[in-house]
Amino acid sequence: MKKGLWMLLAGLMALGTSVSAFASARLDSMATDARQVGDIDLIWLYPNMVTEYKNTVDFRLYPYGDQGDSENEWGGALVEVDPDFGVLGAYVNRPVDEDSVNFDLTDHGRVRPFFRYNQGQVGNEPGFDKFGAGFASVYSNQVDLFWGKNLASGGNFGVHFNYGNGASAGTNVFALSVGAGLGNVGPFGDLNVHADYEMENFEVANDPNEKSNGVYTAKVGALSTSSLSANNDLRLYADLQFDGFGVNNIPNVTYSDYGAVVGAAINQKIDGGKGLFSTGLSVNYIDGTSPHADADFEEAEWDVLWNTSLEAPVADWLTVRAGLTKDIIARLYDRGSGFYGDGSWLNNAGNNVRFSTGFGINWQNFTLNTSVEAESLENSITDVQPGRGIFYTGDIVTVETADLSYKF
Amino acid sequence: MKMKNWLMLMTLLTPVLPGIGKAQETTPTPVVTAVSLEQEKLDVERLRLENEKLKLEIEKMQLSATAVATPAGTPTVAPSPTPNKDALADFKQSFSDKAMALSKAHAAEADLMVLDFVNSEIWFKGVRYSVYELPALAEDQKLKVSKTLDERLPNGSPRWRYQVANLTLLKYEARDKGILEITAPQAPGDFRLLTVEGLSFDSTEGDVRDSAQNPYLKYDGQGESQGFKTLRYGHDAGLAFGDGLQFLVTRDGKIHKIRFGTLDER
Repeated sequence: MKKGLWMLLAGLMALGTSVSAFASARLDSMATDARQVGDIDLIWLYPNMVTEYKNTVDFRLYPYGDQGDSENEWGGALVEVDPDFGVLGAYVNRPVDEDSVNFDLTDHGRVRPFFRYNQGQVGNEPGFDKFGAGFASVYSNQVDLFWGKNLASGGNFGVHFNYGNGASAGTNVFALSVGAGLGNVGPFGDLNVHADYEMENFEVANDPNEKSNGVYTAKVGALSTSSLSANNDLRLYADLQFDGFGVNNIPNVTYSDYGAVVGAAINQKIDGGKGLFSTGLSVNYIDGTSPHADADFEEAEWDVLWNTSLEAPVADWLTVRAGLTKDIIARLYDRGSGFYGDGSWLNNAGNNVRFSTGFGINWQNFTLNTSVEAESLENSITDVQPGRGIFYTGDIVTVETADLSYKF
Repeated sequence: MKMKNWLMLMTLLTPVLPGIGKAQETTPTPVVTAVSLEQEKLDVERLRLENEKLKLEIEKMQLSATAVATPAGTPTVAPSPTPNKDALADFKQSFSDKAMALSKAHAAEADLMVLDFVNSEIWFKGVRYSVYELPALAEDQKLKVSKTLDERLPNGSPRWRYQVANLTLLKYEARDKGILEITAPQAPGDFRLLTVEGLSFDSTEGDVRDSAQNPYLKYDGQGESQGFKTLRYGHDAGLAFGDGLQFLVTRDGKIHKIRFGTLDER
């Protein structure tokens, strides 16, 4: 045990870091989604789940690839104050637009897909440069507050409140989400539902009459986990999202979209639950419209995404993860004047595939999860140089991002 | 002053190193300075301490080899919890043998669990289980067991709460060990308890203090928890979770609850 840890520490000294950054290190290293395998990230969709992930301190490192500056890291804690009162939680500095690992696979046009379920701009407006730099709609999440409680009926209930603001005095964001765990309902095992509403206020620079008008995101969704056998379960999920973006006195600057994500995954426990094998399929559809005078467009996208993931303990202190995602079908429709197409459906699938890997280190109640840049791992395998990074310069692999958590 | 020091030195030397004292009888006394006297005093003190250390080590080895359960309430000398590996393995084996004998002797008592904290085992009707296999014990022995979600690790791995009458096991699916809690029987169907040390829910705080420490489980102090006085014992496992044992004792000195396992998981 001790030898292994020292070897690991020596190895860690030889790990490099990349400028690429995504969201949860564990999920990214498995190229999967929290809804498919279960993860503390589910609290961002289902605030009632703070009752399940209680008594956890959760630090997210390297957001935006900013390793080393200690300024953009984010995190928080979930604490059960008392079983009768429930669980309180607070997170600070959550990124607004940090992307998950699969985001790139589905980001084909101007409309931004819903994979960024926990870190997306209110209104999902397709890019601030589209409307010029005059809009002060860029904001930062300041604090997320949670409260959740187990109910006597066996279910649970939770609330999530978010406050954010921007550099401009008039820019602020408020969000309220509710979630409930309903237990077994009909054919659905352990059913959870959520409803969220976020709104943003801002003023156009130097013109107080030009203010945000109806900048919002609304979401509803459900997730169920049914046991197929002692070692297998089936997870089904669906989320609907609606977005709006508008500015007073600038009639052409509007945007709206709607869409859905529907998915399923089958998970198999490895070694009684110490590890996990998962394979899943998700279908994503989004339709966005912007009747802007200069860049009028209506874009619709749909994708079928397949992925498989593995989480395997190789020692009591070390877990290795890997995953592969493939965009099997990707279609883009652009009704406009040909920014991307000519008004017909385009095949955007190409060969969009991503392999991810990473590892986790467990030391009593501490867990350090990382995702590793696949290219760096492949380079090390291709060009084996024993001792590299330990006895002489060079990195064994490059760590993309890392999360540090503690259970208490 | 010099003569006084000399006499003191002789007094000390005589019982510890008689050979030296005898030699002094036949050797002309040299001129003794204050510095050399002090040096000799220090040497004698060092030898005396080394002698004491040897005595303690012999006692430690004797206790490690012969440590067995003693009836509750019998005062015992607390042995050192740091025997060598072989002695510890022998001790654990002797403890397991004792647990087996105890369980076989009480095999007919269907409401009695025999606990072996040293080997993390629970015996029921003469059959051995790991304390972390409570659900399997319940299934094999046709006992009613409930399973509810307690909480999750950040990776989603559940920690289940298994309940068999007054026995509760908290265990993460992703881990080998967990926390076993046994509350004093309060309702029909609850289980009585007997430990290899001879402790039961009829034992007193004094019984616990006298017998719970052994070469494997070291006394780790007392505290307060859930309104009860808590006596803590533990076995360090380095970087991994060690085994912990807690006795929650009421104000009148009765055992209310026993907690055992990876208590650092909380």
